[in-house]
Parts: sequence; structure tokens; C-alpha cells
Amino acid sequence: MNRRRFSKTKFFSVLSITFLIFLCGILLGNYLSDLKLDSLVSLENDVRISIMSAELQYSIFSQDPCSNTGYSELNEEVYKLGRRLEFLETKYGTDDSNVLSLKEYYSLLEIRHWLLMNKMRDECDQKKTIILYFYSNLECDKCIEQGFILDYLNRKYSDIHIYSFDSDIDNTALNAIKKSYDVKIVPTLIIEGERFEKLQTVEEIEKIINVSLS
Amino acid sequence: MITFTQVIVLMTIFLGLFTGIYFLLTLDQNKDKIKTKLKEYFELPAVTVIVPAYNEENTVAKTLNSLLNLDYPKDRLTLMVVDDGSKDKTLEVLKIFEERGVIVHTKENGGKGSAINYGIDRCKTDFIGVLDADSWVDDQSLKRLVSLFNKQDVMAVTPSMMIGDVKGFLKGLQSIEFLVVVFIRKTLSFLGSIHITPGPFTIFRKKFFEKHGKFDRETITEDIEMALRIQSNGYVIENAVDAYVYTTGISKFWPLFKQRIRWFRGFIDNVLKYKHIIDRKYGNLGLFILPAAFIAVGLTVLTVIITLFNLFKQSYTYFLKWYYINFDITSLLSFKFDIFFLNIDSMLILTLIGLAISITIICISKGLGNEKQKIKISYLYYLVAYWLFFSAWWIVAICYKVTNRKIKWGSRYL
Repeated sequence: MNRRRFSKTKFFSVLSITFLIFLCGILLGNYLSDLKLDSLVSLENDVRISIMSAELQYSIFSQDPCSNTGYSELNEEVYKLGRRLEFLETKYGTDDSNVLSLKEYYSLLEIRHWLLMNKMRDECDQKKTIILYFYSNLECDKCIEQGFILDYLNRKYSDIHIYSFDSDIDNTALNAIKKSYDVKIVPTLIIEGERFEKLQTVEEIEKIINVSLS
Repeated sequence: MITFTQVIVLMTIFLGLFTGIYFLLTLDQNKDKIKTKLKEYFELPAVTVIVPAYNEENTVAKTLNSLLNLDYPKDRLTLMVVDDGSKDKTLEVLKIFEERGVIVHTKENGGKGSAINYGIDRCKTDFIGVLDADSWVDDQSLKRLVSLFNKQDVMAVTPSMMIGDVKGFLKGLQSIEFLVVVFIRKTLSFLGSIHITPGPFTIFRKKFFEKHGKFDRETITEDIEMALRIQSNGYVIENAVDAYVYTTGISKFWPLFKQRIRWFRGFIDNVLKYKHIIDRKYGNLGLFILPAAFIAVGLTVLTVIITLFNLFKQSYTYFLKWYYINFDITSLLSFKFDIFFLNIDSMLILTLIGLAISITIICISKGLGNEKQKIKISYLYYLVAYWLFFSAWWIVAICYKVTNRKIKWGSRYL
């Protein structure tokens, strides 16, 4: 009978120990997650420096700008940044304030990279296809699917550059681009300056690219 | 921003951690009482072992041989088999053993409870043990079980049940399960909260049957009913952790499923029958163990349902993705691994802590159960599989209860 007696001291001490372990686990997890956020901030800084260097390099070698081949590394960095941001977005949610501010900064970096690519393509006569993609996380039919398709094409073809912009970000530079291409709905693709609204399949995009490259 | 899924998972991990630590602490507090002490000048009492048998022609010989091999004075041990109207060659096998001193009774089929009760009526000793006809005993087990009857309020002593002959995935699963139960049962004995007196080789004091009646024939889990009856009347159920009993276990999926549905449905029915135990008066059993059992079942079932649902949702998203890129597999070749994508967050860390405690418990159980095999990686598969099976068994058992579907004994007492 006395074995069955409920010991309040034991109950509360085990409860406290469990609570402590639980708390430690949660704190450790949060700390590690925050490290990721920090690493992304520093990566964005690195990309900014790389872009600035590339732009300056381009200006310095104004006589023979096209012979420089440091750009593939830069492209890789930008691409990596975009992937990691996407990952954080799915983890923290699309309305997390940290993610949103990182995204806005990333959009500006994308625009700078795009301007540089445009200049290089015109002056160095490179065969590249540049695609701008406008999407929304809030209200968009088929944005997720369009994202899958573009991701696939990006990996399949090495001479495509795809820049994705969250249409809901209120930023003057971004708004200027939207206005100049008359972007009204999502998803919208600007392929080589031409506007395509609604979902474009793999075949449709490949056809457009082949036409523009030829 | 915390989702419903995360709340359920966190609650489950918290409850799991709490129970694990509580049990480990209890075991540690009583570590000098774990091994059964055989009293030196203790006079071994007379015991009758009843073996209820129904269609057990293949296994009953091994059972009886292990009983005949018990390290116990032959003049104090009576072996009795009650054939419950078997339709196979069981009776022929039993006739051979009659010549070796085993008493054989036969009667019309009436269920396991009725067979045991038939034996109890014809028993002349103060102590009665019951052994299932598909189980066999270690030769030291009876001595150890009997030495825990040192106080007058001990009405039953339970053994440690294990799977002998482990072959195949399902039996491997059951063997880990039984090992953990060895740990749980010993700990529950220190909390005075044993609520199952297993069929294989529990020893009872005959006085209890005289005062409070024999086995209940209505229930499909008479072992749970008897244990709760003993607890309800304020007596003590002990556990001899080093009294080993081996059972064959079930190797096929559906028979195992049916057995567990019977166990769980019986558990629900009997706890409802004895619901007055869930009360402050019954201390650990009423306030902690029985309620915690139901909460644990609820949370486990919920986590499985939620996880499967999320998995399904994820698979659907993946399918959609592949559909839109026309199932081009070559895109997989350009995959670059980025350590950033390793999702180490609080949930993962807490899950790992929970896993660590589970593995600790399994290791300790192996020590208690005298299990020789080493820990293998396969134990992780068993843990995951067990969680899924457990939920499936419980969901069906609850459905049976809710729809009031009848469960009967099959072609054997499984």
C-alpha cells in the first residue's frame, strides 16, 4: 500500500528536470537557427562586395571588358544566396520580418546583377537568355508551379539567367522595373524584354528561348 | 509562430521525457531491490501450476518439459494441464506426460478463463501458477517468484516475459517490446502499480480466489481483469524481474494484429470496469499510471496521424513538381549539397534527446532481461515501426470499442 503512495516531491522534481531539459533543447535549437540567419546576412554582404567588384572590374577594363572570366563565380554566389533564402522562407514562413528584409536586399542585389549582365551581353555579344520572373506569396494561382519550372530550366541550361522578384515587396527600384515592363498580374515572365503572363510550361519557354537565341 | 503539429509533438516529447525520467529515477531509488533475494531458510511452499491448453499440439510438450525441469522440490510441485476441448492432437501429447506425473484434465471448450478456473477448483495447494501452453520457463524462475510472497498482502507475483527464438522482423519487434515491458513492469512494481498479471507464469495466492472469486469468463483479457481486481481490493502485486518466461510470439502480421486488438480492447473494457481506481485513494496507479497510459496512447496516435498527413502533403507537392517538369530525371544529377539545408532546430534536438532516453531504457532493459545480443542499428527501425504499429492497433481497438464489436478467441489462445 505504501508503495502506491503518490510522492509529490518526486513528481515535482522530475517535472522540474524535464522542464529544464526541454528548455535547454529549445534554447539550443533557437541559437542554431539564429546562426543560420546570421550566416545569410554575412553571405548577402559578400555578394554585395562581389557585385561591386565585378561592376568596377568591368568599368576599369573598359577597353577589353569581355575577356574577364570571374563572373561564373559571382553567378554561383548569387544563385546560392537565392536558394538559401528560399529555404529560410519555407522554414520561418513568408511573413517573417527577418526573411522579408533579407529578401528585399536580395532583390536589389539581383537588379544590380541583372544590369551588369545586360551590359555584358550587349557589348560582349554573349549568347545568354535573361528572364525576369515576378511572383507573389499571397495570392497567386500557379506561382509555385512556375517556380518549379524555372528552377528546372535554370539547372538544365547554363546560359540562362533567371531573376525572381517577389511582387509584394514595396521598393522603389523594384516598382520602377515593374512599371517599365507593365507588370500587372502574377505570375509574369519577362523573357528577353517580352512580357508573358500566366503559367508558361517547359516546352513553351524552351521554344521562346530557342527563337531568341537563333 | 507555432503550429498545431508542433504543439502535439512537443507535448508528446515532454510527456515521454517526464515518464522516462520518472521511471529511471524510481528504478535507481530501488536499485538494491531489483535482484530477487532468495531467503536462505525459507521453506519453499507447495505450488500447483495449471496449463490451460486449446489446440496446442505443437508447443505443449516444450512447455511441460520446462516445467518438469524446474529447480524446485518435486514433492512440492503439482503440474496440471486442462485441455479445453482441443480439436487437434493435444490430448494425445498430454497422455505421454501423464506417465511422468502430470495431471491431465479435459473438458468442453469454454475459453481460457474457464479452463484455469476448472484447475483452480481441483487444486490443493496454497499457491497457484498459470502457464500458457505456448510458453516455457527458466529453471530458476519458480523459486524466485515464490520468494517474493514474503508479506501477507502480496497476492500475485509476475515474471519477466520474453520472446524466445527470435526470427524475423515481427518477432524482433515483439522482443524489443517485451524487453521494455520487463523494465516497465519492474518499475511499476516499485510504484505499486502493476496492472497486468500475465498469463505465462504469474503465481497467485489461492486465498485470493477463495475470497474474491476466480477468473472472469466474460472478459477477453482475464489477466488485466484479475490484476485490477487485486489492486482494487488493496493488495500487492510483485514482480520478480529475474524469473524468466519465454514465449514464442507471433510471426505473421494479421494474427499479431488481432492479438493486440484483443489486448487493447480488453484494457479499455477493464479499466472502464474498474474506473473507480482512477482516484487519489489509489495513489500512483490511480493518479499517474492509468491516466498517463491513456494520454500516451492519445498522443502517439495523434503524432502518427499528423506525421502521415504531412508526409502525404509533402509527397503531393513533390509529385506536382515532377509533373510540371515532365518527370525529367536528369535534373537530379545537378543537385549540389549545401550544409545550410540541414534543418537543426529545437524539434530535432528534443527528438534526439527523446531518442537517447529511449535507447537508455532499452539498454537497461537488456540488462534486466539478461539478454545476450548486442544493440544493433536495427533497433532504430523497430522503434519507428513499433510507433506505427502501436497506433494502428490502438486506432482499430478504439473503433471496435466505439462500434461495440465483439472479439472472440480464435483457433488458439493467442
